[in-house]
Amino acid sequence: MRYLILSIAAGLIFGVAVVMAQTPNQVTIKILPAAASLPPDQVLEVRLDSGAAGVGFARIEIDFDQTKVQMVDEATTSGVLRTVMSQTVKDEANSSGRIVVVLGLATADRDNPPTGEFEVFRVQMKSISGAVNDTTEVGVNTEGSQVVTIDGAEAGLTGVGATLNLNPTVGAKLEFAGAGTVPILGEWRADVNLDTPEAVTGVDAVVRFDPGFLEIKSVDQVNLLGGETKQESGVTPGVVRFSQTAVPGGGFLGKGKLATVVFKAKVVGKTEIGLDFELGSKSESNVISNASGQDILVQPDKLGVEITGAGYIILEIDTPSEKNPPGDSVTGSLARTSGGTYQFTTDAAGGSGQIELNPADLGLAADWTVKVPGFLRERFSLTAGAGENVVNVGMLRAGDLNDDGIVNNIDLSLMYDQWFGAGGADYNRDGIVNSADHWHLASRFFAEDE
Amino acid sequence: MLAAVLGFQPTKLEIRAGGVGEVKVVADSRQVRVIGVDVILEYDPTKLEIVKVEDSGVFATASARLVDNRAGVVKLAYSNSRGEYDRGKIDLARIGVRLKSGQKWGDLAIKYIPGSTTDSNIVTLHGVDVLTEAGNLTVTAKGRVLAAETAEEVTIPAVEVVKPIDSAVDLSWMWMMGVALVIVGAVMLRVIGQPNDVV
Repeated sequence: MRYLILSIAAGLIFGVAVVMAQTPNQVTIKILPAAASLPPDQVLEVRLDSGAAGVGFARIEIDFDQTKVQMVDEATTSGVLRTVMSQTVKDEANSSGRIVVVLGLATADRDNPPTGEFEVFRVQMKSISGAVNDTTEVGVNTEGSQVVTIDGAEAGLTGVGATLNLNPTVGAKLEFAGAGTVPILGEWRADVNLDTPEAVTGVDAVVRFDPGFLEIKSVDQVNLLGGETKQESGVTPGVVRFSQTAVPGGGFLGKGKLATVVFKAKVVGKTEIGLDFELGSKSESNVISNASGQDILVQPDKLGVEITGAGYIILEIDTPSEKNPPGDSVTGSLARTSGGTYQFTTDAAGGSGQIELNPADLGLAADWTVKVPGFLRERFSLTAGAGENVVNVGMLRAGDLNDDGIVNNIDLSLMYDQWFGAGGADYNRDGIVNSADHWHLASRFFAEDE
Repeated sequence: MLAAVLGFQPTKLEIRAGGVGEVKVVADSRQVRVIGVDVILEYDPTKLEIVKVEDSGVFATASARLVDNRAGVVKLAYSNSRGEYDRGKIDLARIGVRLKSGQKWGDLAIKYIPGSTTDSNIVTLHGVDVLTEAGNLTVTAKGRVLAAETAEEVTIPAVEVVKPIDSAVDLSWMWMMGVALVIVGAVMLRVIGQPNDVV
């Protein structure tokens, strides 16, 4: 019984060993690059990947569509398998659409056969297709190929071919460029750029955006093509169109900016803009070739933007000014206690416009101060949120000519220095410092900064 | 060297607790031409009370007067017109001070911080503060100090703010007085003349 068990075990071990010895090595025959565009002429490398197995012999068949591509020169072997037994000549290959190369390991190399991935031979191919945007495959015929390892075993084969794009149309591009983020209620400017490899005589751009996020403010065209410009916005919600044409006999070739589309960011979130485009259609965005009159625009990319929750303070300020201009136009500083400081300038009506706040100044119940030189500092409380925070500061208190925070005789003395002249003490801004301005100072004696 | 001082005359006041004494607030600018003077007085309102401020009238305008007996602050400002100056020793005001009942002493200090423009100032041309020295008033109780008594009469409000004094004279009271006299005269004439109307 014991001998029977031992015999069975020995038999199993032997059997497994035999099976393992008979399993062929796997070799991959591949063509690189796996994808390429022609023209220009393209060199294709035929490579073997034998893993750990040494290669002693290789017969490789490559098939191609000889009506679309042709060999430019004879195939060139790499010299790794130095013995060239046979090789299809160029004319024959271009006639049959098949390249057969048979190579063997040189006797001198038997002790050091090639392993791993290595080039076997290469061929230079050219396109003879007359079709635009044509494609063809250059494949490995594994049925007609054979690889024998150094130990005399025939390897299993896998073939990986290449795809060739023939005579691709090199189209024109309409590309967006703009910042990736914009604060809410801020302006977002998206440039529309043209990049064309051939002369074009017209461009139509149909820009589509989400009117829930963005509001069109303007389309500022740069007359890149030199002829007419047209634009339309507000007709269809979420769509703005513009066109440019070249002058007769003219055209544009190269890169340049067509327009800047200015949006106002309405709500926080992510959105994107894009161009209406359909291949083969001329009723949407187009770039018209000067030579053919065809639309050569390729699929444009979209541009995304994130609208962040920025906040603004808008100040409304009154001054004793009785002249317009300059009206209530002043320059000063806005500051949050223990926070950021911002400079501002008001217009003649006393409006500061949007003063964009740092995120750190948002959402805090805080005291803010407004200081304009020559006037006392005013204070207000505000929890600044996202969006516009309008603050009516009211009438600035005049008189603090030395900006020390109190109106007193020092300021009066400084006012006297400017008497009958011009200067910061001219609070009513009528061009002369006199009793009318003195009233503003004197009526606030000992008043202090808030 | 521009130098000027602010102080009191006298610098010490001895009064009965609960009583009122008077001092002058004086400035001495030496030879410096003065456009205006800001005086800020500070005191402990539990000890002292300002019951009177009487401007001397030396300056053209009493630009401001604030008496705050709750906070213990008096602010006075006197200003000249443009091109007019005072110099030398100047009486600014006469102040009535009460030492509150039960108090042994109290200080009336002139707020002065060298280099500061937000305190008391003696101001010359071009906004220059030439004040270099300020003296205090010490009020002490005369005789035996009794415990605090009932609230005493205050001659000015606890907080009094006087806006700049306009040089123009307010004549509205004269007009109102004239109207009143006409009415009274008319009534009297009617009363006196009544018997003549009786036949």
